Amino acid sequence: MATSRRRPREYWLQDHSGGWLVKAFLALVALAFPDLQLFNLVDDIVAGTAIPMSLFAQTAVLGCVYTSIYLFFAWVAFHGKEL
Amino acid sequence: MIRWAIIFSLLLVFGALRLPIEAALTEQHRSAYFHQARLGLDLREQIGQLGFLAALSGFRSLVADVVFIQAHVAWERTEWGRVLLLFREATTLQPRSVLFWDMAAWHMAWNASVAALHDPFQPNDALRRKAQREYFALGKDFLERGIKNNPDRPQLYESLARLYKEKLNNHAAAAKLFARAAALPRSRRSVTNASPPTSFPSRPGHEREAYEALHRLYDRGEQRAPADLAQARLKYSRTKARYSLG
Repeated sequence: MATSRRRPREYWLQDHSGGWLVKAFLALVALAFPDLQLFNLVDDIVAGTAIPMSLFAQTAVLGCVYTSIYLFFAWVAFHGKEL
Repeated sequence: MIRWAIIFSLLLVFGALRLPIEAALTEQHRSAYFHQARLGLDLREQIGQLGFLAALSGFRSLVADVVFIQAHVAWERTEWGRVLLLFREATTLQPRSVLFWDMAAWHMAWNASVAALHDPFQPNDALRRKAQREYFALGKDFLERGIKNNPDRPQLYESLARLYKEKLNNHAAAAKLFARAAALPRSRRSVTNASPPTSFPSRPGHEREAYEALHRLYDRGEQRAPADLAQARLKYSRTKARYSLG
């Protein structure tokens, strides 16, 4: 069966073969960057795959949360600074 | 500096909080067979630089459709080698499109195989039959890979069953595949009800099994059942000396 491409988070959580430096880097990437592949559903829609309503709702809510949180971080980072 | 440290810490904390949510969503994607296409260097060599860039930039479906149309044109010109290459590209780009796998297998196992068998430029009959078998194998390979990518879709099981039944004369494998297709939730009623038993009569030693399966079908009042039942009954009567009705 074809498998989907593995992401840093999956390597970090499942792969036990790398050294501690690799693991630390993967953990940093996995924790700092959101998994945007979760929002990439367009090809499956074009291919005729039905997206379940619950999955769509969860993805939409997750998108809103990501946007709010990262906007908040950006606001905290640049608050009071001259542009 | 302190502000950046706080933000970075918050970022990591938020990352830890969202990990289980992302893992759950990823699992849902996996169970729904999303993100199956794999864009490797071999595909890049096949579809060219521009096509590969288009595929990477989100136009994968569009590129696959164009390749599919090119394959259709190649079929009209009976360029079988080109048909094979183009369908390999199309199915690589869109592995969840059942139509691409089914059409690729049909062209190989039904059209190209017949063309190879009647190839006027090949006087040797043995070589023509060898080419025909190779096209059967290519069609079978397309369907098997299609099933691996779409194990939840019954159409490809049906197509592979038909290939086993009509081209490879392997009715035992056909019956198993029809049964697997029938067990899937979205299978067609005609396959669900009629096809598995019709594969039984040609399996030596399975006449009784065929008779019983068709009798169950007959009892349910399916339209195709009476003729098939008669066929099975005939075969069964020939061999009833070896079996008892019970």
